[in-house]
Amino acid sequence: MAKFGGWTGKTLRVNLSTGKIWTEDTIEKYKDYLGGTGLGYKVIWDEMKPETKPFDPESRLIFGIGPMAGTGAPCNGRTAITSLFPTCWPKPLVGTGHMGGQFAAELKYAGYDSIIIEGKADKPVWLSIVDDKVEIKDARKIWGQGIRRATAEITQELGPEACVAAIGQAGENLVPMSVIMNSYSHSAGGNGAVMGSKNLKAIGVRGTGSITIAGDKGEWEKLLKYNLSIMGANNNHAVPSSPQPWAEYFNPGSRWKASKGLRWEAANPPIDTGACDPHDLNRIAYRTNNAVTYLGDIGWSVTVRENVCTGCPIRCHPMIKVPSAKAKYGVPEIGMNTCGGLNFGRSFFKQFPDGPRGLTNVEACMVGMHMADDYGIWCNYSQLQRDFVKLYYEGTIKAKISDKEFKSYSWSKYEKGDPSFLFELLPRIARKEGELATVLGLGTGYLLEKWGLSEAEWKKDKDLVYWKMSHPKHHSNEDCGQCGVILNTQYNRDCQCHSHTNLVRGGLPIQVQKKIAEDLFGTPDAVDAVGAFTPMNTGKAKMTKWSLLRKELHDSLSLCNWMAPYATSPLKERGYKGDDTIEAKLYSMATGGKKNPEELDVVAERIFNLHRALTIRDMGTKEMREKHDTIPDWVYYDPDKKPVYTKGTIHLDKQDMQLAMDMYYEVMGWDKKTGAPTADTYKKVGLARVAEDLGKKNLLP
Amino acid sequence: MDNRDEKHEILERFLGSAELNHPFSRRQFLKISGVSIVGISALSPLFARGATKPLVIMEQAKGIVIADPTRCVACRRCELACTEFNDGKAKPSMARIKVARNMNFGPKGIYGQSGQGNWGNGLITQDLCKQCPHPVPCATACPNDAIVMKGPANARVVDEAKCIGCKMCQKACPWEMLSFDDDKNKATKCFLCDGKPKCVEACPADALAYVAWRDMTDKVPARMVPTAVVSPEKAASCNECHKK
Amino acid sequence: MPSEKTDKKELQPEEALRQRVAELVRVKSRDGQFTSRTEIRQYLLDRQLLPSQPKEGEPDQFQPLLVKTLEENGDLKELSGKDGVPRYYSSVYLSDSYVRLLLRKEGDPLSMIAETVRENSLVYPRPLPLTTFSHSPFDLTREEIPACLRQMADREEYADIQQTTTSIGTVYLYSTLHLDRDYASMLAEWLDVGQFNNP
Repeated sequence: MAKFGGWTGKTLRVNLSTGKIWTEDTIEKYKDYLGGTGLGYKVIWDEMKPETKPFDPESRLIFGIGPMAGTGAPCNGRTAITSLFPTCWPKPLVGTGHMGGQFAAELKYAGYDSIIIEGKADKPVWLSIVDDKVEIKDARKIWGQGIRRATAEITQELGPEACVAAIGQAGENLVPMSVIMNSYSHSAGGNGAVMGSKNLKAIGVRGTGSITIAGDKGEWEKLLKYNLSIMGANNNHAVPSSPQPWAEYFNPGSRWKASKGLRWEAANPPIDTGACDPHDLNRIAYRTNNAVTYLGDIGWSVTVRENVCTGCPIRCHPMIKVPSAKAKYGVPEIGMNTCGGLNFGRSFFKQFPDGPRGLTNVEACMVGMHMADDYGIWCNYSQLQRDFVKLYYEGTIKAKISDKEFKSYSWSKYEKGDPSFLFELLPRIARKEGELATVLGLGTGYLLEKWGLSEAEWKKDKDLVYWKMSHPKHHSNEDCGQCGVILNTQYNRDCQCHSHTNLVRGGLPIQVQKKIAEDLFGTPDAVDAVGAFTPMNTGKAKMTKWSLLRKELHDSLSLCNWMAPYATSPLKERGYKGDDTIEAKLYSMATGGKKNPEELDVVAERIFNLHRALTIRDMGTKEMREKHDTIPDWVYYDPDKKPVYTKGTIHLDKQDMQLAMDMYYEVMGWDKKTGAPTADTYKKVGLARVAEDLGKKNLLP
Repeated sequence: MDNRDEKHEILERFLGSAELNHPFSRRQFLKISGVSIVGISALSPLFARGATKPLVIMEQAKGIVIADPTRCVACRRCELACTEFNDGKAKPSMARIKVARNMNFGPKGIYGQSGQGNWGNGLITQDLCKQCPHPVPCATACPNDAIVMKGPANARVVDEAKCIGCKMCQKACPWEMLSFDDDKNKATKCFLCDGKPKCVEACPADALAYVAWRDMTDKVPARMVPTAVVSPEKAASCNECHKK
Repeated sequence: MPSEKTDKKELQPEEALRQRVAELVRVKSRDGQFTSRTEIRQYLLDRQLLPSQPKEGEPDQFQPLLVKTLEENGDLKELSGKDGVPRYYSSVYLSDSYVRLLLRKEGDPLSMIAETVRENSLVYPRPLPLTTFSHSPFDLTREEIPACLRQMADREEYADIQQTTTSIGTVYLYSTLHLDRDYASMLAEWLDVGQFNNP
């Protein structure tokens, strides 16, 4: 059997009902699916029946990690946790939560490529993995404690270098809106309750082993330096946000915030970020400051430094120090997270006494972060908070819950924008205390059902940005027109895809973007300027397919989709072009399994089609177009009634979107009427058995 | 040249090298130079003292990697560069610059409650080999004289051919900087990548620098109490130089 | 008559001198600044690398030194400022667009604002937040900016420079030559509020 680098060769399997622990040969069983989501979908397809429910003991919880994790390939610290999503409405379907941190690398160093968990323990347990010693241990002492304490206690036993993935009280209480977290600030959304249903509190890993790089070490060094040389800032933004001496372009909206005179003010002593010339690979970590991106310019004053996953030079989790948060609210004065996690607290509030970008906003973030990340509550890309705002201000909460319960909340505090309100709400969500908290913890679809609210109404509200099946949009038309919309129809949770948005939000002039799009997709018309959308075309369909396939590829390899694919670079001498072949280069050299970009894309296509097959099988219908790939009304709505495809509006046209779906299904090799993959397509991507199984159930078009 | 002149020459050359880090004054040293000095590795004509004489590293290193903990962003690319680019495998447990062990809770771990690291105030101490001046603890402890001085940077380097995998060196270093490659059963340590340290090149936060050697042994707190044993032969040679 | 030996000795210091001049220009470029002819001359005088008083009858050493430095270093460029004094920069460290910004800065602030706003409205296209001009390299003060806008409002040649305010009160500037009002205000709202709410 050929020996590969990258993979460790062993996939760990644990049955919590029987206590059995064993391994499978990764190469033999899962190589064709790489790892990560690919491995997750494969296990669910092979081993789980469609009738299985998320909390059944037979339900699988797969910590999927790929061959790149733990190597020096930039931005590889990704774990894809695949399971049925209990929030997915009306029927839980396959979904993946994504977490960064150190978990992926540490598991690889312990000698395992992924962990597949099944069964249910009789009483609370945690899984201990110390190199090749794997044990199921008693978790009575840490059950009922937050994620932070669970981590601390396991660390006491396994040592300070151990990495712990844990659920909080939310997951323990089977709150569907739960996360699994590791390394302080890294959360995988949506699977926490599945882990809780298995009585599994945490997985503690300590690994001292190694990952082989198959290729020549000198060549590997060159390749990594090359990869670093074409990277931008967070989300691969290719231009700085203010004019820099070396830069031809700039964009105030860019995440590349560094500039001379702008400092990490809370560092001791403060550090000037300086003009980060992209050729200076020793200064990549200064480019991004998401404290500023998410909090406004006040972010500089609270930044200690940047943090994030193993092997990543970008550092998208700002570490912020807010003494007033400690003084006023008793939370630790230092916190870190990014995006929805960083915004967790503030997103509940409509306003703050000192404005949307002031100190209270920051304090609300601190309070929210510390609680959500300890109780382990999921925000569902901030849909939790948007729903809350709407439900409160439209009087629905007052109408639906008892008077007594309503009075138990300090609503005046909430309306004023007092972060201490969060102490009343968040713990209750984690503990399912009261009607409001319980319903919020279900996920939007079930909330609407429980309270007899109309999902159709929810889909009309352009501020809610709810999409379908409990999940919101994630980078849809507002960023990328039809391409964004199609992407948002394809998953059973918010699509978590950044391939497209990394290109179009990077700040390059539209003409430069169009040139790059022409290289990649055959026509400059594949991208439009924001708010100046044009009708659908085949270039956009190709871009959509590329975005999806690459996202699955990254989630299976363990490469960060918030950076890759590298369509652009900050380098003028490259015409701002990135390198679309870099995944293939990294994969081939690390594993020794040579694949060119087209071949690797076929693997990605296999993985994504398997996700499609799973969705079809578990929904019990092939009518994807009609029943799954739906588009909410707000996408077609413009408050000023501007005509579609004129400048200044982001709404789209229903008919054009139908054409868009046609074109998309065509490039995917799927049946236009149903949106289901054809038998030929399944076979083409190596899923002949899947086609057979679906054929037997009449789920082929 | 007779024995006595040879020794004078050795001493002159030694004393001439940068930053003498010796408790004795130059005058005292010359006074006791009548005593035999054995096996100074850098000066090859005098190697012919014979294999039975223990190795004593006298000369300073020429370069050293130093670190700024306030800039470290805990990405661990230094650890990865160290092992991937030198050994062809990603093995941070073997990295010759050490960050992960301090990353979560600081250098004293979770029991030390230093308030540092990702779970504290964010400060990350990067542990680096000090390329110790004489006496070099790991070299002194090695029963096989497998830790030698090697150009171009005069780094203290494990000679794999001589290493027997006893791990005595690990017990000798107060900063716990010796690594062990259990795939090869050999100790390994920072060798400054022959003058172009890969960790320095790899750091995206400008937190590491490769500079002219300076004595860091009195500037960085020890991590542990060394428990290595010095062989009688080496102890005897210490006596030869240092006894009054 | 200088012997061959003497010639060799004279060449080396001159070459070193030219390298120092080149480095000066590059270092300043990296910092976002031009180096003027005067500055280079002063730099050399300060270090006694040029005679302060050229000797009677001796040719000027400075000009040929400068010319040869430019010849030898392809990245070094010369251009004229508004005051006619030549400026030098390194194209490796200063981009064309930054050079344009620096030149605009030497002119009057009104045209600096207008030309920058027009360029952004054309090239990206997008409006620019007003705060852009209080930061480097524009460096206008809080008082200067509204004063400039008031003056521009009165002048025909700046009629295309318009303002739009986002829902949280941030002012953006755009040029009607390249962006219409609706599109500009939509883009401003997207940049200021939209992207913030759609992380």
